[in-house]
Amino acid sequence: MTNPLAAIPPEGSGEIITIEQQETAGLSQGAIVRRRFFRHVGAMVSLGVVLLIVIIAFSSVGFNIFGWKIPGWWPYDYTNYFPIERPGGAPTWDLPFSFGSHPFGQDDIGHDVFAQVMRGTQQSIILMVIYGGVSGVIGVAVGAVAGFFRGRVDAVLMRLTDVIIIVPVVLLGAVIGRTYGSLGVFVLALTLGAFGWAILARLVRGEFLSLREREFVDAARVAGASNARIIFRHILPNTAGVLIVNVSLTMSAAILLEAALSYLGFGINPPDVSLGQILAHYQSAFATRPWLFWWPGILLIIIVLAINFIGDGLRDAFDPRQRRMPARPGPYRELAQIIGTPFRRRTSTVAADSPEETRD
Amino acid sequence: MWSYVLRRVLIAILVIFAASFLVYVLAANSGDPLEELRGSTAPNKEALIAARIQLLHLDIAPPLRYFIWLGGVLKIFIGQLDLGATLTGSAVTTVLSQSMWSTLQLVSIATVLAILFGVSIGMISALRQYSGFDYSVTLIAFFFFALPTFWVGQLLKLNIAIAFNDFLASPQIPPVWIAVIALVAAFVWASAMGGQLKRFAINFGLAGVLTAGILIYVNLTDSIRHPNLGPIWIGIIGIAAAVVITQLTTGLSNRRALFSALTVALLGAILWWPVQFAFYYLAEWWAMFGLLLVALAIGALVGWLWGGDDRGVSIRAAMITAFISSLLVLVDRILGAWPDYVSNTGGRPISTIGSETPGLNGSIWLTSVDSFAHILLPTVTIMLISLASYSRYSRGSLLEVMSMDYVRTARAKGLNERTVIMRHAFRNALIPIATIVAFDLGGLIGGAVITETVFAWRGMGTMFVQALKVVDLNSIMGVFLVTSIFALLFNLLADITYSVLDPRIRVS
Repeated sequence: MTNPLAAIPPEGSGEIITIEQQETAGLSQGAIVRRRFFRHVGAMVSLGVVLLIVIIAFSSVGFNIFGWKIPGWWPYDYTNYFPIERPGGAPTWDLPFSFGSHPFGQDDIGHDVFAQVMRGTQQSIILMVIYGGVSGVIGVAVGAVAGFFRGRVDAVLMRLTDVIIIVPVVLLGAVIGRTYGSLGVFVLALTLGAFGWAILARLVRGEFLSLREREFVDAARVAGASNARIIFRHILPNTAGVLIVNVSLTMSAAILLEAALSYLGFGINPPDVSLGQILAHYQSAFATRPWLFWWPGILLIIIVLAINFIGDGLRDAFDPRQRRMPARPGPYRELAQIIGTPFRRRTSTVAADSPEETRD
Repeated sequence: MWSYVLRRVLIAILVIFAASFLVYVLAANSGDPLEELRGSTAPNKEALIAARIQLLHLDIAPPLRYFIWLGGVLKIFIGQLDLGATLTGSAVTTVLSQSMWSTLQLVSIATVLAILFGVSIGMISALRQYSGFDYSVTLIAFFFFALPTFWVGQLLKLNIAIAFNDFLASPQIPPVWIAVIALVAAFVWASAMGGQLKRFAINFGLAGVLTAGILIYVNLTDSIRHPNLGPIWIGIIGIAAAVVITQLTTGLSNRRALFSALTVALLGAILWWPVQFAFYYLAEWWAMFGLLLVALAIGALVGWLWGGDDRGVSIRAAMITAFISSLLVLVDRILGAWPDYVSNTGGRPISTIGSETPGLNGSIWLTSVDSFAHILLPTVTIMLISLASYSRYSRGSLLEVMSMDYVRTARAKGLNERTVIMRHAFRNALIPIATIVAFDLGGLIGGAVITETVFAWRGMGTMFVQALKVVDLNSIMGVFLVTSIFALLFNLLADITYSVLDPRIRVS
């Protein structure tokens, strides 16, 4: 760090400032991470997709908040059944834009599949958020305390983590389902989250163990900072990368977990629906009524895929070591250059820099 | 070291005690084990209920009942493990040992294959970072991550299995499929081989033509209905394997190693005839194992005879080739039972339920085909998903190692790329993967619940779910005990492997 200003190109020179250059120009860590994340195409597309799904899922069939029923724009409810329109309840969606009244089809007794799938998506998203929040908070708390104080506290907390990690999740689902069957997704998410923090706690502990030995922690202690202040102000922000990435991946895993539980009959119980439960309920109808299988399945996959991509984008954004090296021109680029050469010769500027590119 | 292991084992035992108590109380509160009896219309309902209460000590409160169960477990020290009785009165130990065996069968094959393919795919994609291959692998891995297991299972079961069985009725691969498969294979091979446009194009063409040729040959000889390799194909594949193995282990410039591997491959093809007699007269698994040992010994001998100064590497290459050749000979024999099996199952060999065809009696070849046909789909289901994660891990691991200083040093002192990758990078990249594998194995033993349920595989997962549905406490605890012991054991193993493989890390 001799002179960071030297790296800034003079104003008006017209050069493109890359993020790496701006880093030396003195952007804050948060700004760098944010910019890198926004540049990650997969993550941004996924973010858009998730937002779209959330908006559609919640606005279409409406939702309940503490007894307040907020209606949606979709005319059908997920619990009631309606006269079957097409033989077998086939989708009334004729490509491309003639949706009909039941675009996703109906099941054998006339439930509207679109309403059911939207309700299921809501459940998955609610579960994901609560699970991520609960397991994140407990995991960080346990991991931070264990890693910071070490010694006996660490030993006890880590053994507790071992106990939690080997309790089978299916069992939890069964206990909750039997005891609080009617409370639905909230209780399920809270309980699963209360048992889902073990891996995160181990990671956070590892980070704390290495960070607490660093000089900036010593400096803070010499300056008279309390333990709480060191944990919250000095160490925790430095673990943000590991934390956010893993919580996002845990959240996508939670969706699959709920689906698996519901499939086994231990998750969301009828009459309420979730994506996994729809799939389990109609699994025998796969050959005869494929729309009961494909819609919830595809939606499930899209959500999980999108969350994973967001997690991947966050990982790239938070990893300070990651500088994308320009790829060596592979066969495709070479082919494109050969094909493109006759077109390129017309403009002198592109032809001038093409030998630069082909150089190995 | 040993004191560390001892301490970890003691802690693990304490953890299991605490967790089993928690699980016992939770499971006891999850429902009523008398529910089905209460609803029954049997005239001796009261007597049945009383009998079950007495059998399972249901009149004692769960926290205390736990200690009765624990007492049974602790009897293991006097050699008579007692895990209690199931709801129907049979001993949990017998039920559990059966289901444990079938779960192990399923999980071990799937895991071995997933590790083999996952690690190689991941490493190739790391070596060809940012290539078409790399991007495709990344995308596919992400996609597999997002797939719910039961959804894949159902899809395979209700779509692929049926379609494949239909296809077997008249097994001719349509030309369109030949073209598609050849193009995909060409893309995969050419991308994996890397190189600039000229080399890429040559590899693409070669791989495509070769694949299409093999598929057309399969069509012409009707090999799907009567699959067999025969000594000629065993020889050809063996020679190809010999070349690849020598290239990977010592490099083709080591002529002695190459020739010993090639000799073994040829011997494998020649020994096909005498081995057929052994297969006929000694159709037992122990005999197969003995033959494998003989094959390995022959490999070692050949390597020793060829080897000059550096016998070790020749012996190694020859033995690996011998292993592959003998597997080929065995597969050839098992394939011989395929037409018989197809006619036995009414022309629909790929099965979607259970682990064996009931009432099928025949030679070990027929029963092996039967096991294969049953295990195929669940194995693919487990494999697809864990393969994705292994490929990601090994890619990341190799990429990290490749940027290390010692790899640069190895390059700088003039070692060729093969030596740098295989001897310096690959081995070190395997260290973190070994620990992940150990973790996964521990988790997988109990984690095949969904797959087992989808395919009605009578393993521990199904046993656990069934037991949960009827609140069969002793069965739940039995499965839990096995899975948690496995999990903690492999956890310990992971830590120890790490310290053994990487001397920089010390356990204490």
